[in-house]
Amino acid sequence: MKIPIFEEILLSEMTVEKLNIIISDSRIGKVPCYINLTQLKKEEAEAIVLNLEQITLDHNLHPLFPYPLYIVTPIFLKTIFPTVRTVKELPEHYFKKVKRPNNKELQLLNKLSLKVDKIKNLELYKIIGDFKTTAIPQRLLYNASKELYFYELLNAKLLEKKK
Amino acid sequence: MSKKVGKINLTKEFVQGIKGFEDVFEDYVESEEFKDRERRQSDGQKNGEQYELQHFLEQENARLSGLESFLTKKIPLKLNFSQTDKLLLIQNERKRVLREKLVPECIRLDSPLQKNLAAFFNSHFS
Repeated sequence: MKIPIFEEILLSEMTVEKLNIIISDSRIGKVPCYINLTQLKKEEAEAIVLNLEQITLDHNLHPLFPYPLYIVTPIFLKTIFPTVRTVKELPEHYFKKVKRPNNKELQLLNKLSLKVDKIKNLELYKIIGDFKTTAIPQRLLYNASKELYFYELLNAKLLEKKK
Repeated sequence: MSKKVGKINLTKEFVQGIKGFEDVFEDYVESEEFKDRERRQSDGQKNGEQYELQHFLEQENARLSGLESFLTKKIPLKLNFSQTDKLLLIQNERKRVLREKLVPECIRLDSPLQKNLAAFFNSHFS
Protein backbone atom coordinates (compact mmCIF):
# COMPACT_ATOMS: atom_id res chain seq x y z
CA MET A 1 0.00 0.00 0.00
CA LYS A 2 1.06 3.58 -0.60
CA ILE A 3 1.86 5.84 2.36
CA PRO A 4 -1.36 7.78 3.11
CA ILE A 5 -0.20 11.26 2.14
CA PHE A 6 -2.03 13.80 -0.03
CA GLU A 7 -2.44 12.95 -3.68
CA GLU A 8 -3.74 15.49 -6.18
CA ILE A 9 -6.27 14.26 -8.70
CA LEU A 10 -5.69 16.10 -11.93
CA LEU A 11 -8.74 16.61 -14.08
CA SER A 12 -7.42 16.71 -17.62
CA GLU A 13 -10.92 16.70 -19.10
CA MET A 14 -14.20 17.63 -17.49
CA THR A 15 -16.63 15.38 -19.39
CA VAL A 16 -18.65 12.87 -17.37
CA GLU A 17 -17.07 9.87 -19.14
CA LYS A 18 -13.54 11.13 -18.55
CA LEU A 19 -14.33 12.00 -14.91
CA ASN A 20 -15.67 8.49 -14.47
CA ILE A 21 -12.41 7.00 -15.72
CA ILE A 22 -10.30 9.37 -13.60
CA ILE A 23 -12.25 8.55 -10.43
CA SER A 24 -12.18 4.79 -11.01
CA ASP A 25 -8.41 4.91 -11.65
CA SER A 26 -7.73 7.14 -8.64
CA ARG A 27 -6.96 6.01 -5.10
CA ILE A 28 -9.87 7.94 -3.54
CA GLY A 29 -10.62 6.48 -0.11
CA LYS A 30 -7.30 4.61 0.04
CA VAL A 31 -5.22 7.77 0.50
CA PRO A 32 -6.28 11.37 1.22
CA CYS A 33 -6.86 13.15 -2.09
CA TYR A 34 -7.74 16.59 -3.31
CA ILE A 35 -9.05 18.13 -6.51
CA ASN A 36 -7.97 21.66 -7.29
CA LEU A 37 -10.78 23.71 -8.86
CA THR A 38 -9.36 27.15 -8.13
CA GLN A 39 -9.07 28.05 -11.83
CA LEU A 40 -12.73 27.37 -12.58
CA LYS A 41 -15.71 29.73 -12.63
CA LYS A 42 -18.61 29.19 -10.25
CA GLU A 43 -20.92 27.50 -12.78
CA GLU A 44 -18.18 25.17 -14.01
CA ALA A 45 -17.10 24.25 -10.47
CA GLU A 46 -20.71 23.57 -9.45
CA ALA A 47 -21.28 21.35 -12.49
CA ILE A 48 -18.10 19.35 -11.86
CA VAL A 49 -18.83 18.90 -8.17
CA LEU A 50 -22.33 17.69 -9.01
CA ASN A 51 -20.91 15.15 -11.47
CA LEU A 52 -18.26 14.11 -8.95
CA GLU A 53 -20.90 13.51 -6.29
CA GLN A 54 -22.83 11.25 -8.65
CA ILE A 55 -19.72 9.36 -9.75
CA THR A 56 -18.43 8.77 -6.21
CA LEU A 57 -21.89 7.52 -5.24
CA ASP A 58 -21.90 5.15 -8.24
CA HIS A 59 -18.47 3.82 -7.26
CA ASN A 60 -19.63 3.41 -3.64
CA LEU A 61 -16.94 5.81 -2.41
CA HIS A 62 -17.57 7.92 0.67
CA PRO A 63 -16.24 11.53 0.60
CA LEU A 64 -14.94 11.29 4.20
CA PHE A 65 -14.10 7.71 5.12
CA PRO A 66 -11.61 6.02 5.34
CA TYR A 67 -9.69 8.94 3.78
CA PRO A 68 -11.28 12.21 2.68
CA LEU A 69 -11.48 13.75 -0.76
CA TYR A 70 -11.09 17.52 -0.52
CA ILE A 71 -12.23 20.07 -3.07
CA VAL A 72 -9.98 23.12 -3.27
CA THR A 73 -11.98 26.13 -4.39
CA PRO A 74 -12.36 29.71 -3.18
CA ILE A 75 -16.05 29.61 -4.23
CA PHE A 76 -18.71 28.57 -1.70
CA LEU A 77 -20.17 25.25 -2.87
CA LYS A 78 -22.94 23.23 -1.28
CA THR A 79 -21.52 19.75 -1.51
CA ILE A 80 -20.97 16.49 0.34
CA PHE A 81 -17.20 16.90 -0.05
CA PRO A 82 -15.14 18.81 2.48
CA THR A 83 -13.94 22.05 0.86
CA VAL A 84 -11.01 24.35 1.51
CA ARG A 85 -10.12 27.67 -0.12
CA THR A 86 -6.44 27.01 -0.87
CA VAL A 87 -4.06 24.05 -0.95
CA LYS A 88 -2.30 25.54 2.09
CA GLU A 89 -5.49 25.13 4.13
CA LEU A 90 -5.46 21.35 3.68
CA PRO A 91 -4.62 19.44 6.89
CA GLU A 92 -0.86 19.41 7.40
CA HIS A 93 -1.09 15.98 8.99
CA TYR A 94 -1.17 14.36 5.54
CA PHE A 95 1.71 16.33 4.06
CA LYS A 96 4.80 14.19 4.61
CA LYS A 97 8.08 13.67 2.82
CA VAL A 98 7.99 10.64 0.54
CA LYS A 99 10.62 8.11 1.53
CA ARG A 100 11.24 4.41 1.17
CA PRO A 101 9.61 2.60 4.14
CA ASN A 102 11.68 0.15 6.18
CA ASN A 103 10.50 -3.29 7.29
CA LYS A 104 8.66 -2.11 10.37
CA GLU A 105 6.95 0.65 8.41
CA LEU A 106 5.96 -1.86 5.73
CA GLN A 107 4.34 -4.04 8.38
CA LEU A 108 2.41 -1.03 9.66
CA LEU A 109 1.39 -0.15 6.10
CA ASN A 110 0.04 -3.69 5.56
CA LYS A 111 -2.02 -3.42 8.75
CA LEU A 112 -3.26 -0.03 7.61
CA SER A 113 -4.23 -1.40 4.22
CA LEU A 114 -6.35 -4.15 5.83
CA LYS A 115 -8.17 -1.61 7.98
CA VAL A 116 -8.76 0.72 5.03
CA ASP A 117 -10.22 -2.16 3.00
CA LYS A 118 -12.42 -3.21 5.91
CA ILE A 119 -13.83 0.31 6.29
CA LYS A 120 -14.26 0.70 2.52
CA ASN A 121 -16.29 -2.52 2.39
CA LEU A 122 -18.82 -1.24 4.92
CA GLU A 123 -22.09 0.30 3.77
CA LEU A 124 -20.88 3.72 4.83
CA TYR A 125 -23.74 5.77 3.36
CA LYS A 126 -26.34 3.59 5.12
CA ILE A 127 -24.49 3.54 8.46
CA ILE A 128 -23.93 7.31 8.54
CA GLY A 129 -27.51 7.98 7.33
CA ASP A 130 -28.99 5.75 10.06
CA PHE A 131 -26.74 7.33 12.65
CA LYS A 132 -27.92 10.81 11.66
CA THR A 133 -31.53 9.84 12.43
CA THR A 134 -30.57 9.31 16.07
CA ALA A 135 -29.32 12.89 16.32
CA ILE A 136 -32.74 14.48 17.06
CA PRO A 137 -33.59 12.40 20.20
CA GLN A 138 -30.00 12.79 21.32
CA ARG A 139 -30.32 16.60 21.05
CA LEU A 140 -33.64 16.47 22.97
CA LEU A 141 -31.95 14.45 25.72
CA TYR A 142 -29.13 16.99 25.87
CA ASN A 143 -31.60 19.88 26.23
CA ALA A 144 -33.66 18.00 28.85
CA SER A 145 -30.52 17.21 30.87
CA LYS A 146 -29.42 20.84 30.70
CA GLU A 147 -32.83 22.05 31.90
CA LEU A 148 -32.90 19.45 34.68
CA TYR A 149 -29.44 20.51 35.82
CA PHE A 150 -30.68 24.11 36.06
CA TYR A 151 -33.70 23.06 38.17
CA GLU A 152 -31.49 20.95 40.45
CA LEU A 153 -29.14 23.88 40.93
CA LEU A 154 -32.07 26.17 41.71
CA ASN A 155 -33.50 23.60 44.09
CA ALA A 156 -30.20 23.22 45.88
CA LYS A 157 -29.73 26.99 46.21
CA LEU A 158 -33.30 27.95 47.12
CA LEU A 159 -34.85 25.13 49.05
CA GLU A 160 -32.07 23.03 50.52
CA LYS A 161 -30.45 26.15 51.99
CA LYS A 162 -33.54 26.73 54.10
CA LYS A 163 -33.15 23.35 55.80
CA MET B 1 35.81 35.77 9.29
CA SER B 2 35.55 32.01 8.84
CA LYS B 3 33.07 30.64 6.32
CA LYS B 4 31.00 28.77 8.90
CA VAL B 5 30.54 31.79 11.12
CA GLY B 6 29.90 33.90 8.02
CA LYS B 7 26.95 31.66 7.08
CA ILE B 8 25.02 32.57 10.21
CA ASN B 9 22.77 35.60 9.76
CA LEU B 10 24.18 38.22 12.10
CA THR B 11 23.24 41.89 12.25
CA LYS B 12 25.79 44.47 11.17
CA GLU B 13 25.93 45.94 14.68
CA PHE B 14 26.67 42.51 16.13
CA VAL B 15 29.47 41.88 13.61
CA GLN B 16 30.94 45.31 14.49
CA GLY B 17 30.71 44.40 18.18
CA ILE B 18 32.68 41.19 17.83
CA LYS B 19 35.44 42.72 15.71
CA GLY B 20 38.84 41.65 16.97
CA PHE B 21 37.60 38.24 18.16
CA GLU B 22 37.59 36.59 14.70
CA ASP B 23 40.62 34.43 15.48
CA VAL B 24 38.98 33.06 18.62
CA PHE B 25 35.83 32.14 16.68
CA GLU B 26 37.81 30.57 13.85
CA ASP B 27 39.74 28.43 16.34
CA TYR B 28 36.49 27.32 17.92
CA VAL B 29 34.87 26.50 14.55
CA GLU B 30 37.86 24.36 13.57
CA SER B 31 38.00 22.64 16.98
CA GLU B 32 36.86 19.05 17.56
CA GLU B 33 34.31 20.23 20.13
CA PHE B 34 32.40 22.26 17.52
CA LYS B 35 32.58 19.47 14.91
CA ASP B 36 31.34 16.95 17.48
CA ARG B 37 28.40 19.17 18.34
CA GLU B 38 27.45 19.59 14.69
CA ARG B 39 27.73 15.83 14.10
CA ARG B 40 25.47 15.11 17.09
CA GLN B 41 22.93 17.67 15.90
CA SER B 42 22.71 16.19 12.39
CA ASP B 43 22.49 12.64 13.81
CA GLY B 44 19.64 13.72 16.08
CA GLN B 45 17.85 15.27 13.11
CA LYS B 46 18.28 12.07 11.08
CA ASN B 47 16.92 9.94 13.94
CA GLY B 48 13.93 12.27 14.27
CA GLU B 49 13.15 11.93 10.57
CA GLN B 50 13.64 8.18 10.76
CA TYR B 51 10.89 7.74 13.34
CA GLU B 52 8.58 10.42 11.90
CA LEU B 53 7.03 8.09 9.31
CA GLN B 54 6.72 5.22 11.78
CA HIS B 55 5.01 7.50 14.28
CA PHE B 56 2.67 8.81 11.57
CA LEU B 57 1.73 5.27 10.52
CA GLU B 58 1.13 4.23 14.12
CA GLN B 59 -1.12 7.26 14.59
CA GLU B 60 -3.03 6.37 11.42
CA ASN B 61 -3.42 2.78 12.62
CA ALA B 62 -4.88 3.98 15.92
CA ARG B 63 -7.18 6.45 14.12
CA LEU B 64 -8.50 3.82 11.70
CA SER B 65 -8.98 1.29 14.54
CA GLY B 66 -11.06 3.90 16.37
CA LEU B 67 -13.04 4.69 13.21
CA GLU B 68 -13.63 1.02 12.50
CA SER B 69 -14.85 0.34 16.03
CA PHE B 70 -17.11 3.41 15.84
CA LEU B 71 -18.66 2.32 12.54
CA THR B 72 -18.96 -1.42 13.23
CA LYS B 73 -19.61 -1.61 16.98
CA LYS B 74 -20.72 1.66 18.51
CA ILE B 75 -23.17 2.86 15.83
CA PRO B 76 -24.98 -0.53 15.52
CA LEU B 77 -25.15 -0.74 19.32
CA LYS B 78 -26.65 2.75 19.44
CA LEU B 79 -29.13 1.95 16.66
CA ASN B 80 -30.25 -1.44 18.02
CA PHE B 81 -30.22 -0.82 21.75
CA SER B 82 -30.77 2.91 22.09
CA GLN B 83 -31.47 4.11 25.63
CA THR B 84 -32.24 7.67 24.60
CA ASP B 85 -36.04 7.40 24.79
CA LYS B 86 -36.00 5.78 28.25
CA LEU B 87 -33.52 8.35 29.53
CA LEU B 88 -35.65 11.13 28.05
CA LEU B 89 -38.71 9.81 29.92
CA ILE B 90 -36.80 9.71 33.22
CA GLN B 91 -35.41 13.20 32.69
CA ASN B 92 -38.85 14.61 31.83
CA GLU B 93 -40.39 13.02 34.94
CA ARG B 94 -37.65 14.41 37.18
CA LYS B 95 -38.07 17.82 35.53
CA ARG B 96 -41.83 17.76 36.22
CA VAL B 97 -41.35 16.87 39.89
CA LEU B 98 -38.79 19.62 40.42
CA ARG B 99 -40.88 22.19 38.55
CA GLU B 100 -43.90 21.39 40.73
CA LYS B 101 -41.73 21.92 43.77
CA LEU B 102 -39.99 25.09 42.58
CA VAL B 103 -42.81 27.08 40.95
CA PRO B 104 -45.04 27.54 44.09
CA GLU B 105 -41.91 28.48 46.01
CA CYS B 106 -40.97 31.17 43.47
CA ILE B 107 -44.44 32.68 42.98
CA ARG B 108 -45.05 33.27 46.71
CA LEU B 109 -45.19 37.01 47.43
CA ASP B 110 -42.52 36.78 50.11
CA SER B 111 -40.24 34.47 48.10
CA PRO B 112 -36.58 35.56 47.60
CA LEU B 113 -37.19 35.87 43.85
CA GLN B 114 -40.18 38.20 44.31
CA LYS B 115 -38.28 40.24 46.91
CA ASN B 116 -35.24 40.62 44.66
CA LEU B 117 -37.39 41.54 41.66
CA ALA B 118 -39.27 44.12 43.78
CA ALA B 119 -36.00 45.62 44.99
CA PHE B 120 -34.66 45.74 41.46
CA PHE B 121 -37.74 47.44 39.99
CA ASN B 122 -38.06 49.84 42.92
CA SER B 123 -34.45 50.94 42.61
CA HIS B 124 -34.74 51.58 38.86
CA PHE B 125 -38.31 52.83 38.31
CA SER B 126 -39.33 54.57 41.51
